[in-house]
Order: sequence, then structure tokens, then C-alpha cells
Amino acid sequence: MNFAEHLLKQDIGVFWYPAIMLLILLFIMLIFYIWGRLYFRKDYNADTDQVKPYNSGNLDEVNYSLKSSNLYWGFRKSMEGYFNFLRSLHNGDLNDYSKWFVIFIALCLLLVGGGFL
Amino acid sequence: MSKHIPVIIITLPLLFAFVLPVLGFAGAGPRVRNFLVTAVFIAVNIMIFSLIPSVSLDGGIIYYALGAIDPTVATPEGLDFPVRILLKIDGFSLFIAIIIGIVSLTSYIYSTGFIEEDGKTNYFAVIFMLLTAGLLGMTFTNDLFNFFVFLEVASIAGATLTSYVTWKKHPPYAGFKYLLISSIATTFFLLGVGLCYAQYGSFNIEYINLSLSHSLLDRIALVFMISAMAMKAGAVPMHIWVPDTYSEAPTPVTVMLKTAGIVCLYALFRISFSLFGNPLSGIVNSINNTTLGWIVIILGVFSMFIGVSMALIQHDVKRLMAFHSVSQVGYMLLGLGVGIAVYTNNDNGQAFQIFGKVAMAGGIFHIMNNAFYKSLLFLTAGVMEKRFGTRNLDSMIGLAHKDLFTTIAFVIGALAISGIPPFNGFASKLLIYESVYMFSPMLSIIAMFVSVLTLASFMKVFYSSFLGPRREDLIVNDKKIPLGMTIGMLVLCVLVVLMGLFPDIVINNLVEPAISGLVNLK
Repeated sequence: MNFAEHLLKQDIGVFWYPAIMLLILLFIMLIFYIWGRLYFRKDYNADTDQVKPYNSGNLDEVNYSLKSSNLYWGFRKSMEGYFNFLRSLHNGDLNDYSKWFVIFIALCLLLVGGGFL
Repeated sequence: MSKHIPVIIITLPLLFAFVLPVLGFAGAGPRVRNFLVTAVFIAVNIMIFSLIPSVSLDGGIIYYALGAIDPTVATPEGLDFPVRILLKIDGFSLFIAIIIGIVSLTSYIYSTGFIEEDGKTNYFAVIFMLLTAGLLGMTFTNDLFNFFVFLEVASIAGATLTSYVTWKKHPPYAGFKYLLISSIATTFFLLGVGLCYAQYGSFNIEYINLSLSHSLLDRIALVFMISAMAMKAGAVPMHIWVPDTYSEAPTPVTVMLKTAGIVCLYALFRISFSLFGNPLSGIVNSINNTTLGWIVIILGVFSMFIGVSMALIQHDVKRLMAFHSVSQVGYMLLGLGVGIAVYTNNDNGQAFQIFGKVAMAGGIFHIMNNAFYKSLLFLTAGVMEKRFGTRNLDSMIGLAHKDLFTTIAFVIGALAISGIPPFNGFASKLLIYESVYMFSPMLSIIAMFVSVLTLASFMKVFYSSFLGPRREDLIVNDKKIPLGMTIGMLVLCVLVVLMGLFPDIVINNLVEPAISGLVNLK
């Protein structure tokens, strides 16, 4: 089987020819650019407040106190038990690392030696 | 083409690893050293690429018998079995050698700007070359004991480089951890090799494969070898050392450790197929490949899911990326597992031809893609660390104002790892999604979901460190990024984009020969 054909052909329901897709994207961007130059508003002024970020009507600087550890808080909170369990596994103790290796080998040997494999 | 190229590729970095200290004593400065090492890596790359026409394009296999008068003959003494150490270069080993060559070149060029000259940098270059020689040796050798020796060379060099920053608290611990984990893995690997040697009286992979009786001892040897390589590759549940080590090593070393993991994954593929995979032997008690395949698939799924879950809650940028390394290994194992599971189906190889081979192609293509975009991401993390003097994402903001090129490089790497077109990660992930869907739709859905979580995780990094206002007070290093670091990232950016735009060139000329080097289903 030719993998490139597999990747490119439509018989698997996917069309993936990135060079053509990129050209199409550039063409669309060109059309938008021309359209914008012809018809978009021309009262843009870089020296005024209009270029500042809009923050719910507050004209001050946007509050950037939201840090990395605040992101996805809800997701992390709702799955706290799962993440706490995972954290407890990644404790940095080399004994535990070796333990997992021994468990893995033991399981595999059981499968292989026990005739399951 | 010289017939000695296979051995020169390994010995050139090895030789210069011993030449560099002599040059250092003779008073050669950093410029001479960096020029020489870069020239050696370029020469190694040229030699590796010179093998593509005869190996990948013509489907040939190059043998090199060490010490023989005619090294190109596998059994120069005319015996029925090989007695010398053999190097064997087929499509798959060449594929991995290309990855090692490119990554070691780019990461060394990057390190010339990253590692500060402190009078010890000569040692860094020496061990860096030893590590590269070890990895290339592991890739080309066809001899199990020789593989073990190169594995030891690479492991010790990797541990030394990890603990290079001895004046900080954590890197020596990380190096020690890597050394211990490697020691456990290599010990078990050696046990497996011993079991094979005790039965067949040879270390040669092909000879053992042909003589294989699939006895209980063979199976135990298989378990020992695969477990050892899975641990070194960072597969769940033996992955826990990965974030600890990757995050503390200097960034160019992290990239090389990642490459060492890839070479161990290559060894896992080799052991599964070239050493123990012998479906045409007709032996009744041969290993049940479907069960073996499912074990690898389950390992892959757990690696993907646990890796990405842990990455989501990290605030240390390099730890986050290290967990993604675990996650990406899962994709490769998934592709390999599906290939193994259908390898010996009683359907005259139909399932393997229809989707099993494509799954393996996806897995193998993903190895190369992952090596490049992951290296790129680690290198950008190195810039963040330099700028802010920390790896904590909470203490970073607005880097895009300062380093536009790093920002673009990060975006390219992040989109590629998340499987967004038109970057290379998409091409390989698409192959995996489609083929795995034909095997089991649920596995494919899990793989896609993990990609979504990957994107979410990298959005967090992008938001935290690159977006936001310019904050000069947080930046501890205001100097311009050295040219070496920029070149290292630029080369990888170009590769990630080109391989995404023209995946068919890589798949036809490198991935397909790699599959042929691995499996011989008629």
C-alpha cells in the first residue's frame, strides 16, 4: 500500500493536501485584504484609546493577575480526586519508581509464563 | 560511497570525544571547539543522508562486519552463523539515525548559545559527543551485547550531562535518578540477552530470530527486554522519572534525553518484530501477537491519558513538556500496538495490509515528527527559562513583546504537537486516528480527546508566558538571544512546517522503507 495515496485519497473520507490548502488559505486572505482595503472603516487611529483592549467598559489596563495556576480551575476542581491520585503517584521517590517497574515485569511474566500470551 | 560509512558514522563522534580534551589542553578556545563539534555533526548528517539512496530508496540493507577483511559480507568466514559484531542498516535504523543526526546537530548549535563558558564547557561537548555516538551505535548494531554496551554509554553520558549544572541543588539529583533508572533497565536488558545467548550461543539478532524456539525462556527474555526499553522510553507506569529528569537537565540535554527515549522505543520495536516477531515460522506455540498487541495498546492509551492529565496541572514549563513527552509516546505505542495485534491474524495478512501497516506507519512517522516538534518546544522553554530565570509559568508574562521569533517557534511547536494542520503532527496523527478507528473506534476517540487536552495545555503556556503586557521587571536576562539558539530553533521550525506541508515525501521515502525494514509480511 502506498501511504501517500492513503493520506491523499478521498476514499477514506479525508482530503489532505496541505500545499493546496495553504494556497487556498492565502488566496482567501488576499481577498479579505483587498475587501478590507476597499470597504472597511478608515477612521482607525493607532494613537487613541480605540486600540486598547476592551475590558467590560473599564478603560484602565486589563487586569492580568490571572496566572497559569488559575487556569482551568473548574476542570481541576471537579476532578480533584483523580488529580490528587495522580500527584501521589508522582512523588519523586525512586523506590516507588522501581516498584512500578517490578509490578510491570511481574504482570507481564504472569501473562507470558501463565500461558495467557 | 565508501563501504566503511556505517562504522565511521559511529566512530567519528567517538573519536572527537577523545580529541577535544587534547585540543583543550593545547589551548584551543571555545570557537575552535564549537566549530569542530558542529563540523563533526554536519559530517555525520551528510554520511547518514548519503545512505538514503541505497537503503531507503532502493530498499537495500547494508551489513558491516567489524574487523573483517571484507566488511560488507555478513558472514565473512563463510560460516553458517555470524561470529563478528555486525552493524546492520535498514530502512528503520536509518530513519532513527536521521532523527539522531538532526536533533544532535540542532541541539548542539543551540547549546553553544545556551551553555555559558565556565572553563568546563569542553567536558560538556565531550560527553555530548559520547551520548550521540552511543545513540547511533544502538541504532546501527545488529548484536544484542553490542547494543547493551552502547546503551550503557548513552545512559552514563546522559546522566552526566543531566547533572552538568552541579552548582544548583536539583540537577545532580536528577542525574543520579536517571543513572539509577538506566542501571535497572540495562540490568534487566542484560538478563534478557543472557537468556538468549544461553540458548542459541549467539548475540546476533537475525540469527536468534531464525533459531527461535519460543520456549518459556524466550518469553521471559522478551518480557525483560521490552520492560527495560519501555521504562527507558518513558511508557506508563514506568514514566515517573521522565519529568524529574527532563525538567532539571540543561535544555539541549533534555532534547538529547528525549532522543535517547526515542532510540529505546526503536529498540522496543526491534525486539518486538526483528528479534521475537517470527509469524512465518509456523511454530505452533509462537507468541500470541494479538494479546501482545493489546498490552502495547493499553500501555499506549494509559501513557497518552496520564501524560496529558499530569501536564494540564503543571506550572513548571519543562515538567509540563516532559509529561507531554510521555503522552506522545502513547501515540507511538498505540500505532505499534495495533500493528502487532493484527500482524498474525488468520486472514492472510489482510487486516495488517489494510490498516495495521498504516497504524504502524503513523506510529513511526509520529516518532520523527515528535522528535522535531518536541525538541523545538523544549528549546523555546530554554529561552523562557533564560529570560525569566525560572521555569514557573506563574512568574512569566508578555514574552512575545521581547522575543517575537521564540513566540512564533512556540506557536508552531504547540500547534504541531496538538495535531493542528498544516504542521507535521497532524499528518502522523491523522494516519493513527484513521487506522486505529478501523481497529477500535473507541481508541481513536481517546487519541483525539488527548489531542484536545494537549492543545488546552499549550494554550495555558502560551497565555501565561507569551501574552500579556510587557513586564521588564520580571526579565532577569535582557541580552539578545545568541545566534546559536536562534539557528537551532529555526532549523526545527522549518522541518516541522515542511514535513507538515509535504508529508508524502517523508512517508514515501523514509517511513515506508522503515516499515519494510521492520516487518516482512509476504
